[in-house]
Amino acid sequence: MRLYGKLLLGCVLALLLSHCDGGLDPTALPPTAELGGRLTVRGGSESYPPRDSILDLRVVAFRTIPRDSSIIAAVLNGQAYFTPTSILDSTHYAISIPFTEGTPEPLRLEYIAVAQQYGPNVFRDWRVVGVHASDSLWTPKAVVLRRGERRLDVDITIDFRNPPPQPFR
Amino acid sequence: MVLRWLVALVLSVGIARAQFGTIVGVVVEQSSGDPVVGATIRLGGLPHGAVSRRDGSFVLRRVPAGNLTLLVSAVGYHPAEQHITLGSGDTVRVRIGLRSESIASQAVVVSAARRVQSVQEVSTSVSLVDAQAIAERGLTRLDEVLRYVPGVVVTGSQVSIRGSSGFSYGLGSRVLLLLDNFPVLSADNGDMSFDALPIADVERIEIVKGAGSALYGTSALGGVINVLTREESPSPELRIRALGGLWTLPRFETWRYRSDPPRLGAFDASASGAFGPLRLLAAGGYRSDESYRDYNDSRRWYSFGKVTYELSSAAQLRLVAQYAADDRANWLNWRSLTYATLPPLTTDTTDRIDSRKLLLGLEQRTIWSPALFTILRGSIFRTWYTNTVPPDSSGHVSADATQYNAELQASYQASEQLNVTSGANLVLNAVESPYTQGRRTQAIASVYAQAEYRIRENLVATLGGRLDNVSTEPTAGLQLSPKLGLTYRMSEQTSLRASIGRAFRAATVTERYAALRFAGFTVGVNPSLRSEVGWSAEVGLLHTAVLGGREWTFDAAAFVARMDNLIEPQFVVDTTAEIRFVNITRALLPGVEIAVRGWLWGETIGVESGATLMAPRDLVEHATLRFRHNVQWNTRLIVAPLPRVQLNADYRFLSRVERIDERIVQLGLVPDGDARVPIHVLDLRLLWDVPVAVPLRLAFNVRNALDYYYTEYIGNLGPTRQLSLQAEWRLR
Repeated sequence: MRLYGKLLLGCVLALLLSHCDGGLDPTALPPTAELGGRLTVRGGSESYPPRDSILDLRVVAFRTIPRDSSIIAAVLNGQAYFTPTSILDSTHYAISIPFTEGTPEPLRLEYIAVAQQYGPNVFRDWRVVGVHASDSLWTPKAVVLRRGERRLDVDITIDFRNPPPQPFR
Repeated sequence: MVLRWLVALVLSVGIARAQFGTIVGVVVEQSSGDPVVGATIRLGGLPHGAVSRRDGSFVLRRVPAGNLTLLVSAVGYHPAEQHITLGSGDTVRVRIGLRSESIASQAVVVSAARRVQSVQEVSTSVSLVDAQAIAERGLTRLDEVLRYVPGVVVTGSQVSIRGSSGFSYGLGSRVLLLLDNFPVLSADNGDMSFDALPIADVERIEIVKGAGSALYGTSALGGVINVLTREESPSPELRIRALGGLWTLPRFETWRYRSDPPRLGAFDASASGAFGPLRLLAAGGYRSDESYRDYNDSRRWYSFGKVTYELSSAAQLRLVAQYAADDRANWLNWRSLTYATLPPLTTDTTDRIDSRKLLLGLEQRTIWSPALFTILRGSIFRTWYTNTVPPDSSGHVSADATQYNAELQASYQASEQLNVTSGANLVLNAVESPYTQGRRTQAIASVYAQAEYRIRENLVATLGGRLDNVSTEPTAGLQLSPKLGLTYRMSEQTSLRASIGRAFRAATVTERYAALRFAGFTVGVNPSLRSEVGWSAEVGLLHTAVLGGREWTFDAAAFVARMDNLIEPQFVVDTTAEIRFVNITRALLPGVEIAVRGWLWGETIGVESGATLMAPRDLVEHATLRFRHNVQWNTRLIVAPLPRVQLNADYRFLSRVERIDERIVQLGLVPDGDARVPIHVLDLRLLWDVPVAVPLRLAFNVRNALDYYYTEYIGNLGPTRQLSLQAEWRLR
């Protein structure tokens, strides 16, 4: 091969190598924060309503105190985050919160609750059965998160029989 | 009347006794006598064509007797013409020498107009991948092959041509897939089965870009991919290929799901030969891959057979059969970026997918006269799919889907100037699945016609259209897909092309009728789903020039596509509040594409490079269209430092996907779902033709040599670095 060929190959390889940095890196600062904690059911498992009335049970973390029960819409709008699957019969929960474009930092979560879907309409049929609270009167306790932070002490008490005041109209 | 005509056609074998003969030949380099591989051979004024094999040989059968002109061309050589006289029933043997430093490239294609054409006569962009390129790269699956084609992006099991598709878990391909001209999109999901294709025995793959419904009907919204297997050899031939390799351990500790490198292996073989009027090709193979991800292993088997029987000198019957079975883990997405090679914790890792595919196709070609030939084609393509969860459990999935296809095509050369291709097609999709609450069917009946008129010696106009009636459309199910094309041969080296056409994709049975639970949400049926429709237009230029004494081919195109009623899963807020497939998106996809190919410094360095630049827009949300790459760049370098040794390097670049479906991230369905970067993949290989008695080629492959990490689609790490050694024997 002529010298030109070697030079061309060298230039192309140098160009390629200089333009890629190895790609995805799980050790870099994660673009998420993690929220989690313990779940306690007041009255134990006997206090559960009939299982067929719990279509879904999730922990939902709202940026602001919700004014209606459209939890899914709030999640889709980026105003709330919830557990990826039902937490029924779970003793702990964890939510991975993505810091996407438009997510404020630090992120303040005003209202963290356990929501029960009791009817077939996934958009409307929800009620709050537990809240991360600062006292026994269910006063909501806010949590502030930064990118990469893990808060696993956000415990929630669930009370199916005497649920907290509903923030929804 | 129609039935009588069909019967007459089938019985035509005995009566269509036109005067025909056979041409057997070999194409060699004029000075050295070395065989020329991949040369295209055409007969002037006739629809016949062939591509020379590795030993330079070719066969043209059922050629009308008379004085004929053979037109032969190959990249890197001067085209050649040879005049021959063929008597009725004769076999003429020819030896054609090509001179190096050639000018015009005249590769042939069959998919653009459903007949043999020179690439320079085609009014739309066509990319070709030949057997040599597939073999040198050691590829065993169609998706691996397509990743190297300009303008084609593979996302999981989905193929997108010039941005036609984003990401929808493989449902509803907007690119039609054919195997030897038989449709092979599944009847339920309308998806591609990459593992069901005999890639090791492919002669070439034709990728026709842009709206293709004028000839092919539904699914050809973004284009058509036709996988053409090699012709059966007239003399006994055996090919054996074995591959062994491993995935190197990733750089990050949390991605090492095992302590030793996962392994992969493949073995395939094919035999071909002729027994009088009967020609056979039989192939089979096995591939096992432990995968670079946990719970993503797979084992695949395939068998393929092609039998051609010369009913007479003017009629041919061909049977194509393909069976593939696939046993694989049911991988969906990663646990998180930190654990990108592990499935979510909630995954049942004992669950496996058992998937099978069967294609049976029968084709009869009859030449009624030098001006008229017909093709009668029928096929059954069946796919089975089930997982190992018991049928009475909620996690059970299964489907049994069959596509029945019947088609009659006629090509008529009315005069030196006018060629007409027309036909009728009937497709029936039948699906039996718990998803669809029993049996669902969809019928599509179509007629089509396309005329190519040579206005002047160097100007050809194409006008055609197809009318499809889709039984499942909620209102009038008629889809009219017209097409207009022009090719202008400015000189022997340069041709211009322009085309505009409409295309559509009928909603699949799954999109329309599937009812299931997915990630905690209900997916509901939508029988009122309409077809996706679109228009695409392009202008292009193909130029062949000599630079530094070597041939270079340039292809450039500017294109735009407008698509409406695009189907996407959406949350529907009504009394049911569920996910449904709905017609939601309108899109505009403008772009340019440039491809260059040639040799530098004698035949020391070969270069192939193609770039596609796009600006895909979502016209509903007035934003960038989701799951599209704006820039794609593929480059291949071939260096031959020694006579029997070749070094190859393939580099692929895809710009970062600008926009994904934010809902998947917001709902937490895929943790770290928005982790994405530009894609840089460098593949290296060393090929050595070992000088032993039995022709043996060894190939050492390093895929993703830089071990670059990227997501191919949401929550899915792309293939990491893989090392493999491949040996291939060809016995004649």
